[in-house]
Amino acid sequence: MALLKVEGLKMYYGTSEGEVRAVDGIDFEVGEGEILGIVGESGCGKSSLASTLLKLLPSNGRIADGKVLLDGEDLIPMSDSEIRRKVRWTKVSLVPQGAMNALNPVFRVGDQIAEAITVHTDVSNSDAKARTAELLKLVGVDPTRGRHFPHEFSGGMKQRAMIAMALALSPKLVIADEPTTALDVIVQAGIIRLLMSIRNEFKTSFILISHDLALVAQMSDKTAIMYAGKFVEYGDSTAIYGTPLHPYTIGMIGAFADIRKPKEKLVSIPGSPPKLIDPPPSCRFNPRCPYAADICRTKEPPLEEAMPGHYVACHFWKEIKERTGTGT
Amino acid sequence: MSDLNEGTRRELAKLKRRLTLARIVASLALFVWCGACLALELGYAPLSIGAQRAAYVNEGALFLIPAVATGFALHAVGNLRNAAQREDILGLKKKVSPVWGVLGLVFAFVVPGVVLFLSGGSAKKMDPPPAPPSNAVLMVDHLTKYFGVRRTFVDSLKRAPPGFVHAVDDVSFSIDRGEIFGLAGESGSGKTTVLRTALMLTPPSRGSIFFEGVDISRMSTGDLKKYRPKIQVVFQDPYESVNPRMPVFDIVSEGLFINHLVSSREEAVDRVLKVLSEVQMTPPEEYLYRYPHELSGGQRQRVAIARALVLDPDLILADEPVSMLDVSIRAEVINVLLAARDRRNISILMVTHDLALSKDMVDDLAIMYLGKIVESGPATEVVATPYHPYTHALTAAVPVPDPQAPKIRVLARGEIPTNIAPPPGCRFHPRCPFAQPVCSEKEPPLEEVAPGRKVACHFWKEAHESFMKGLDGPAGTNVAT
Repeated sequence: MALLKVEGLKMYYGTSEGEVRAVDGIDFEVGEGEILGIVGESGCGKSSLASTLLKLLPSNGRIADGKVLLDGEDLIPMSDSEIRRKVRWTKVSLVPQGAMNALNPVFRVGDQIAEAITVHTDVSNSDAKARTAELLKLVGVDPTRGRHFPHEFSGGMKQRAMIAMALALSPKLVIADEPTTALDVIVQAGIIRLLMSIRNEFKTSFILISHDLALVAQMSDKTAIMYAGKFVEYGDSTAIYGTPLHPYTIGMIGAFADIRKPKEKLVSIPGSPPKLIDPPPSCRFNPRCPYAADICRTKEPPLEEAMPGHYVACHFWKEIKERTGTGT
Repeated sequence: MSDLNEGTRRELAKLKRRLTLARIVASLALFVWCGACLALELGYAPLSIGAQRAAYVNEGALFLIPAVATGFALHAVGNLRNAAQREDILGLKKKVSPVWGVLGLVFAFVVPGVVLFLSGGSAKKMDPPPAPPSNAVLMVDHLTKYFGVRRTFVDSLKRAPPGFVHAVDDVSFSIDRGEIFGLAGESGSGKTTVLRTALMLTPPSRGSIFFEGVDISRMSTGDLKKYRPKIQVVFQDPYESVNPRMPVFDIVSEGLFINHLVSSREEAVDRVLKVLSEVQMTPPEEYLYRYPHELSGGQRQRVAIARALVLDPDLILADEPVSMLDVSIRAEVINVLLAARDRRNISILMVTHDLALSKDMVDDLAIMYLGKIVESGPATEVVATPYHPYTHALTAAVPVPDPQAPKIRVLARGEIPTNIAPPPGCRFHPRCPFAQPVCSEKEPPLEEVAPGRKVACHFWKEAHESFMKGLDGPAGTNVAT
């Protein structure tokens, strides 16, 4: 059984102009020790999805529908105190976006990690400290640096400290929202290696949320491409990157500068993502899509299983599959 | 004096003693102050001449020391003259020479003056002769930019040498007409400082910037105005670099009006429409009176590019022009810039941290590390077959959109150190898998090792070989991850 199973999840933000459908019917599964990458552009709802999974919603956000089953137990009906006691940190933890700025600047880094431990479990302070040192060592930070304040850390070290904090209570699932944005490429490589080694050592599952196709390709077992609140393509990473079937995925890969290839002209996807307020029943990508036809403007394509374990939401995936042969 | 009575004489003697005391105190104060000034001057002495001049300029020492010292000196002279006058009134006229005051003035003006003159003079001698004007649109010649680190009074009393951020250190390159030149490196490598200095937003500490053969680095702001429209800039974040309260027409046309390039509003509208269609904002009429909040990120950045292009520049400086944009719209902004280059034959200096992107967009690429260029050459070659271990580490760390590709590797230990006290010798040696003792002693010069390819590394051959074999470093080493 999958560790986390999400079914038909919908989360809307109430605004004065109407409801913003940030997460609009999402299904996926994450198995033990598996890394799911969610790729999307800014405003596609990927961070909203992350906070919905832990029910960390702003006051105007509401979960309209769906289930989030963790080990078979639905998190949606749980009360705030219950989810705090039973789920957050202990089973699922979040490395928030801009984690470098998520540390409190006036407390020592080690104390902040120890606090997460003592608040959620009944261990003594000295045990918590020992665990903190162990965690810092695990993420590749000198344990004596725990006495230091966040401003004495570099960006990469702060990110490592945040990861240490997320791992403090050995959760089964870590949601990492843009874990390497704003880091330099060599530091980013170090963080990627760290996350991979944690997965291999502790069988921790990860949901990796990023705008960077290549980063997700490097790390994840499964990949979901998100566009305007929905998954447009979802499946094994090798399938998604090897034989992409959705025009958006194909466009994204074409627009991405690949360091291995010789000099090439990049192709952009024309237009920009739609507003998510009361979208009409249509494929949300149709204004930007080279394959768009009448059906795309009137009927929303369902997420279909094109190949075993490879789902795509496009009316024309069969044509695309034929045209691209085995994939581009 | 004999006609004064005993009491008065005693009073006078007392007064004289006080005056003497006052004089001594004043002179002592003056000397202590001058000594402090001298100590400050000496504090700078161990630094290189360039650093000294930067120190003076950056910390305002040039102005402050003589000014404050003069204040003290004048005060002391005033005291003495006062005293002399009083003695005169009392009929006690005595030769009071204003020697202390004069000495103070000498210390205040002449000594710093001489020091400055000498350092300035020798700095001029040390500067390389101005390079002959070439066809390059922009030529950066031995550019150095230090920023002073804030220093407390206690630091200066301790004679701690003033600290400097060595943001850019002896960087030279040139950009030909119609060329796109890329500067790549991690944050803190000084690439943005090069751009800001090339724009003369901040004057260089040393070195020169030639724009079309003219040295603009020593120009007054007034003279520079003539060159401002010729050198335009596109900033990183289009959400911050366009004024949210101005419609597109105002944003784009502002430069035209400021530089008196148009005589009427109709003419300005005409030019703005033309440039908007050039940056693919079609139909341009529709965008003319829109505000930035009505535009997407990519459109805003294209407005920023239009604002630069409308002045018909020869050179555009682009600071990470697409790093804030989503992948799907990056290409359109890049293609707009490339098309503008092809159509107008302008030159572009592009600062970026994205090696994959620079390969696709840039003709020549220079890799910077801690304020120095470590490698330069044609972008495709530098990225595909790097010579410098640092470039090697950068390219190996870039992820590719293919799950079956070889995993990314970390080939440099730790993180970029501070450039307040950059490592001696080769600045990359503490992180380099190829480092040998010589690397911490001798700084490798940037040498041309193959046609068009320059590298600053003692062991570039070894590094290159190991790269071609797909190794992480010299045989037998294990690079920490």
